[in-house]
Amino acid sequence: MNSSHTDLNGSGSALIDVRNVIKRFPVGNDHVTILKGISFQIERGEFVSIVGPSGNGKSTLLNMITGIDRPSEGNINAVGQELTSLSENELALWRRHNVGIIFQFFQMLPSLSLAENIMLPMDLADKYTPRERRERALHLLDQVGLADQAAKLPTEVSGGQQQRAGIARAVANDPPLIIGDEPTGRLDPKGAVLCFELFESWIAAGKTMLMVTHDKALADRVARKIEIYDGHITADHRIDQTAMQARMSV
Amino acid sequence: MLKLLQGVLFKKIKHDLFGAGNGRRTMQAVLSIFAGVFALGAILGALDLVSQDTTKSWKDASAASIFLGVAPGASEDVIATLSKLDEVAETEGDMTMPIQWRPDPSQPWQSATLKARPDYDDQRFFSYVLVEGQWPERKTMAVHEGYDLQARDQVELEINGDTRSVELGGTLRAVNVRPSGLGGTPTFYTTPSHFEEITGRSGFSVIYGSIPQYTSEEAEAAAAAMEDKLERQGFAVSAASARGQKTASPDEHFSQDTLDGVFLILGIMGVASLLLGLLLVYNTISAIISQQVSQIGVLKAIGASRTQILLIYFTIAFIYGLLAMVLSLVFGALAAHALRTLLTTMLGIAPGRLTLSSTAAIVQIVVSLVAPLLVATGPILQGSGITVREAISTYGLTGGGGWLDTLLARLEFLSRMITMAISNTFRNKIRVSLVLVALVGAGMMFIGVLSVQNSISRTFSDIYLEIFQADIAFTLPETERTSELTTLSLDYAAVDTVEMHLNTQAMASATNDPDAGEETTSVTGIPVPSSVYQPTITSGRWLLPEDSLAVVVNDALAEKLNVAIGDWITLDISGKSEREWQIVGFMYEPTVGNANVAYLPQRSLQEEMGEVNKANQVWIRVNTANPLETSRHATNLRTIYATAGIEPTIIDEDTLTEQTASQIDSLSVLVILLFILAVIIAAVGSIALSGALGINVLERRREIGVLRSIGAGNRAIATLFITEGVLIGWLSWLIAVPFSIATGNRLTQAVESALGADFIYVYSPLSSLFWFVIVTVLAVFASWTPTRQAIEVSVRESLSYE
Repeated sequence: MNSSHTDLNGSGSALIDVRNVIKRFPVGNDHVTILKGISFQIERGEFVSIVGPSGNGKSTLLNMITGIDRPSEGNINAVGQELTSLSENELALWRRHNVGIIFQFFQMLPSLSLAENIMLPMDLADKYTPRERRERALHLLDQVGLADQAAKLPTEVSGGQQQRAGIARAVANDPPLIIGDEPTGRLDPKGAVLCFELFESWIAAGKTMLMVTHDKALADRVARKIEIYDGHITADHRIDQTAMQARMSV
Repeated sequence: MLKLLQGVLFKKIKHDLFGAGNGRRTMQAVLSIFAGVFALGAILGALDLVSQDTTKSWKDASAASIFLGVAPGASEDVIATLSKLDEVAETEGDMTMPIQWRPDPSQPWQSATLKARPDYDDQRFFSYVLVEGQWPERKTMAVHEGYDLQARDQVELEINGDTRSVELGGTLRAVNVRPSGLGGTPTFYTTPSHFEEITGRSGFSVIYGSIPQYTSEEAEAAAAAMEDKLERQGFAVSAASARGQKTASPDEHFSQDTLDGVFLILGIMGVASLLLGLLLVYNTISAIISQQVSQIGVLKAIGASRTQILLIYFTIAFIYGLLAMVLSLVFGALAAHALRTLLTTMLGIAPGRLTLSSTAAIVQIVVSLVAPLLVATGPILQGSGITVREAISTYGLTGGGGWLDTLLARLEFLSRMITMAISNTFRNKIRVSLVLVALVGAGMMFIGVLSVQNSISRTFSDIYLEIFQADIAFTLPETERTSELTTLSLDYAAVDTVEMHLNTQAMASATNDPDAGEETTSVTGIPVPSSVYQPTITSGRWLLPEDSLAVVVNDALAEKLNVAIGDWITLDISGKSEREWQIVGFMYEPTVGNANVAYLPQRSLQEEMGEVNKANQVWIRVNTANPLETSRHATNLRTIYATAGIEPTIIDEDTLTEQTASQIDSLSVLVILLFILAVIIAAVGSIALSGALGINVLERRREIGVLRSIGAGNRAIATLFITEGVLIGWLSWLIAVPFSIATGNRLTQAVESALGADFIYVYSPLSSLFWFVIVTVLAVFASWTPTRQAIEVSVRESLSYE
């Protein structure tokens, strides 16, 4: 594993600290080990992509960090919280203020409009006033180019539009950490560029983002790339700012 | 927390309740709750209001608490002296005599009663209400309402062999007379002087009394004092209340036992409807949770706490209950009033105005709001406890791998589809258990009710006719010489056997325990051995020819007097005999109305009553088994007796076959009510099965999509779900059948309690086969809609990721 730690923000403490995480799944009377001892840290303000072949544990690792799943062994500390010691309910409460998740398959509530889907996390967290929630939802939809679709139900828009709405929902409560599983997988190139610029604006605003992507071009544009193969981290590249800007201008 | 419902989540809840495709589900859930709560409200409301009506009418009519029959009739002066007793507050007499009547000469004679009271303008007890026309006058009579007779009608009355044409001057209502709706016969009212003139009887044959403050002990003491005074003046005294007692609470209507029995059965129906309706609510909430598992996962992923998720789904359950409550309060009140009107009209009481019973309303409100929440707790807690990963991160097919699947894998002769169907049936054990509860309950109830019907039929036909081995039975108004009537009967060619019995009423008490109370008892003096009566002895022995002071009583009387074989009982045959008799045996005799029965050697009873060689019951065996022929012979015998001046009491059924059929018919109303309950339970069980299979379709959409994509046609998909439904149906039958033996017994006991009857329980094995066919049909029917839903699942939609 090739890793170098650069304190990008000078905060001095990692936002995500994964230590010796092992994840096994039962299969009949046996089990299969997906993650075989993963350790890494992500600093506040980093933009990190996780890459690797399908079935090698990328989504499983994201689920560990968001608290959706639990490691079989090891520890995970994210946004100042040791996740492995929290109950399911505590994890939900922790997520509402600390993590925004962009799901691979959108996961929009079908009975709510796009705007209402974005307002929903704010309702759950009791964040902002009711009027502010709607205004914020419309603003976020505007940022992803869906202002005119705000009143539509998820079934009335395309998969790509649902994904953009999912991106907007992830930052509804202004969390410090955003996790994306193939966040641009269903977007056309133009939409993907739009959203990626949005991600970069979040990073510039001090957020931290970790995403799984198969999009090589996208992965090359982030500052740090972690490669996972057969449940192990096989590479952890950090690209300096100059080299990254050179790539973007190509 | 409730602020959460002001946000967008309320729109989700509204959509889940009333959105496209959800309105029907909501209506089903609301109607499920409504059915049970409505039934409870209607029954409790009717019970409350009918009780108020009967108590009010009884009190308004100034019910008596003492009822004495006297022979010969007592004069007004004698009755007035009774009111001077310290224990007694007031007294009043009533003249009464059984007669016959007919609307016109072309009609047959029917039973009736003739009454007269001292002063219709100054009634003290059971005040009559003039409904139409005028009170009885010199030549005009009044008649009780309900027999399609009114003022200015002409009827014929037969009194002491004389036929009289009488004009009716009015109709009235009396609370202490059994109305036509309850099987009563017409009562005609006249003046005391006219009564004496046409009957030849003077004096009042019934005396009513009251005490200052009713308690049962004081009423019995007052009755005893009145009886003592009357007996010292040479009167014979007997019990004269509708229930065959000398005292009764002035607050309790004489039909209270019947009403209690009816409401008990209706109450059971109501509770059963409610429980099964709630079962449907459970299924509905389970279906919603199943459908929304991924939504629950997303909610948790974006920060919803478990409490917030619980709030969403409990709100849905609460709204179901709220809607059902509104409907059931309105319709329950209307139904309660309708049921109240029906029952009070049957009782001859004017029903009150439309009123809401507060008791029923409170019960309905509490049950409709609380019960759905309780029932929904299980699936909501289970659904809200699902982890995010389980809810949204699994896209493959899940389930299977248990011991059943391992066993099925070894049964290679089974087709894969049948194996899958068997495995799928037991995948969700809680769900299938709940469906089984409903179907097993339906099966137990159905088979049980048919067993009750079987028991009643067997008791009042086979067993009755095994005990009473005669074809025709006559009761005579007066005792007749046995030799004369026997000869007269045998002269009729069709008659094979004639036997006469002497029957009377007596007050029975335990000789060594007089404080145990007295029981009105039908006492029969019977030849030993008898050629028409074959007793069913339950303990001890039957009478022997050499017995003189021996008695055999039925089990009911023995239990009430708490006596054993060898004990002595005192039989007080009013005015004729008061003697001790030794119990030699207990017997069983089918009775309705909790009657007490005792048999004595005929000779001994005749001597006690001073009726040697006389009797007043005729039992006849004829030489045909044809019921119509037998009925014709009974009519012919009446004609023959009439030529000798003997007129048996008119009843609707002379032959024992007709009497047993009448008994069975009279009990059929209760059996029909129970059967309706069984049908309701079966219907709900079918709906529960359909609901459960529907949830299974929802949960296995992806599985169905995979089957379709690898070539499963409609028939294969249909086989899966119909097999599942039928398997559940058959499993419920297997469980229900052994339990139905006990259920039938309990139901029979419940009917016995409601009617004060005594049946022989006979299980109906044929009904279990009948139920097998029914439950199979129900299961196929219940599988129909889910099967259609499964067939319509789109492969693309079911395999695409949401």
